[in-house]
Amino acid sequence: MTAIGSQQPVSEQDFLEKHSELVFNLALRLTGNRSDAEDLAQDALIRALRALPSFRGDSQLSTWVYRITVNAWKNRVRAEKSRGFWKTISFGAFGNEKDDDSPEFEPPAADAPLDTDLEKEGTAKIVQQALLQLDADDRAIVVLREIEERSYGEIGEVLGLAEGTVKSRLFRARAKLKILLKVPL
Amino acid sequence: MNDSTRERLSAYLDGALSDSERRAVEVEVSRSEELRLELEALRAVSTAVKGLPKEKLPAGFLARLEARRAREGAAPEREYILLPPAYRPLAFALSTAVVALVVWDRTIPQQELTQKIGWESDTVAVKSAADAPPSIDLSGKLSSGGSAGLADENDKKKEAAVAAKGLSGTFGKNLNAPGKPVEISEDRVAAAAPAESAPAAEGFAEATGKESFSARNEEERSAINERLYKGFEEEKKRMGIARIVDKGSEPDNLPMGGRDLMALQASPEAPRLDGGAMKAMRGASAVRGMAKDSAPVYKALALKTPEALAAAWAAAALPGDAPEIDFSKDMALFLAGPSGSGIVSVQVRKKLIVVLYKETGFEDAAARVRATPASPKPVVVKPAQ
Repeated sequence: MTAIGSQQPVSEQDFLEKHSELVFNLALRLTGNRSDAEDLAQDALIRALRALPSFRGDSQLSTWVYRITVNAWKNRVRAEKSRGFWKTISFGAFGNEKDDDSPEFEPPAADAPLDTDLEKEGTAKIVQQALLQLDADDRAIVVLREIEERSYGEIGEVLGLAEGTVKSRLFRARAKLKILLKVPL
Repeated sequence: MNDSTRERLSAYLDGALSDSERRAVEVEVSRSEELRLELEALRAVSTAVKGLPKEKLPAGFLARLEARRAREGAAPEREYILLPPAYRPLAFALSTAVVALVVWDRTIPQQELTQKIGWESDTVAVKSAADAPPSIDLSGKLSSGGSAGLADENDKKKEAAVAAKGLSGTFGKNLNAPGKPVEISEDRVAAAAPAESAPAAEGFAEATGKESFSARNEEERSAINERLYKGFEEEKKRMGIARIVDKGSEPDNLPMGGRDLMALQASPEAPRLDGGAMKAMRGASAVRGMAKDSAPVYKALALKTPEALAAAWAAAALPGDAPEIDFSKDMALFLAGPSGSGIVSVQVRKKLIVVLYKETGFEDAAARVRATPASPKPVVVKPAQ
């Protein structure tokens, strides 16, 4: 059992039950495929479990886990990118650069109504491919906002960005996705 | 509609505006069709991403996680890729030392050689004249400013030493068949080095030769040989050597050593050889091997000082004194070859000096020397008909 700040102690078992799926889904949207997502999620969870005794409860546990996951992902992309042999198609680049390994984006058909066909696997794949065209921080911002429904403040805490930066980058990312998904005006 | 307005629309979607900002946006949207469409577009994007399905954990995820924890728990996490930070200065020092060693290995021997030789300007000319017979590629090209009266003392000493050394390894060989063209063997291209520098240079040559071929396996030696031979061929091309024949009937049949190379370096007007080229030539000799029982070596030394002629004379163990040559206007051509041979005539052509020799069977010392106007032309040795 681990005491988390002023909160109730959390056992590793409880921690894993509450956060494993959350971490896996975040990893899935960041990496774009299940294999990389599982590897990243396990890496993040192991780090989190190792650091759990020192967690001070300054933020929500989920935010803390998100931060560990995103940092593990960014470290991995950075390291593998510098070594030049990370061949997964799932990582974008940092900054404004586009990852050379990113798949070619196939835009949806002009008559594909996104808001009605999301159930369809094909549409989800198109959206995921569009996400992969975003750079690392923008992708993380979109995923944390739209899928994990985190506030600007929490996103800033996870990524180490100011709220204003999160706000403007989220807008830019949405504008880019709008073009990629051919959302009509 | 500017980006600031659209950014506020994005924040409006997220409920991230204050009440007053939210109301202001709603008023703007109600008045502008463009803003309304933009808001709808951003909402569609948001909805699309939100619609990505949540997925269950893969089967066995937690079991694999525990197994991985067990594995990684046994080994401490490594935050570095190659070396622990504490070892990096040591690795840097070692790699620097290796680089320094390689640089030293490639540069020091050449510097030492230059220092031991003690001169840098004299060179030997080894060229194939355009109209030269195909069997000869040696020249006795002289310095263009080289009258005996003007030559300095160092030049004279060096030339004398060149003559003496060149002869020392040439006499005492089998006679050539009359009428057969003379060819210059690879290890006799040059004459000789100054006497005082030869031992040191020989030591250097031996040392570097051993460095190249000892303590290596067959594959490494083969690679070295290939590299050296390539360098040798390039050096031949650079020097204008059209052809090098296999070594003649030398009893020792040793690869080209430091003395020969230093003589090559010391003779007039040839390009200087760097350490790499010298190694290459030695290596090439060693690789190719030496053919035995071929023709004896003849060559004509072009000498421009009385000291050089005297040295050549003495080295050939010829009786008496060398003939008098007016070195103020001529140079001496000295036939270096087996005993019982002499110069029949010298033909001074436009671009070439041809020395015709004949084997008489008895030693006529004076017949070995001819005076010819000093001229930086290639010298060719041919048997007289």
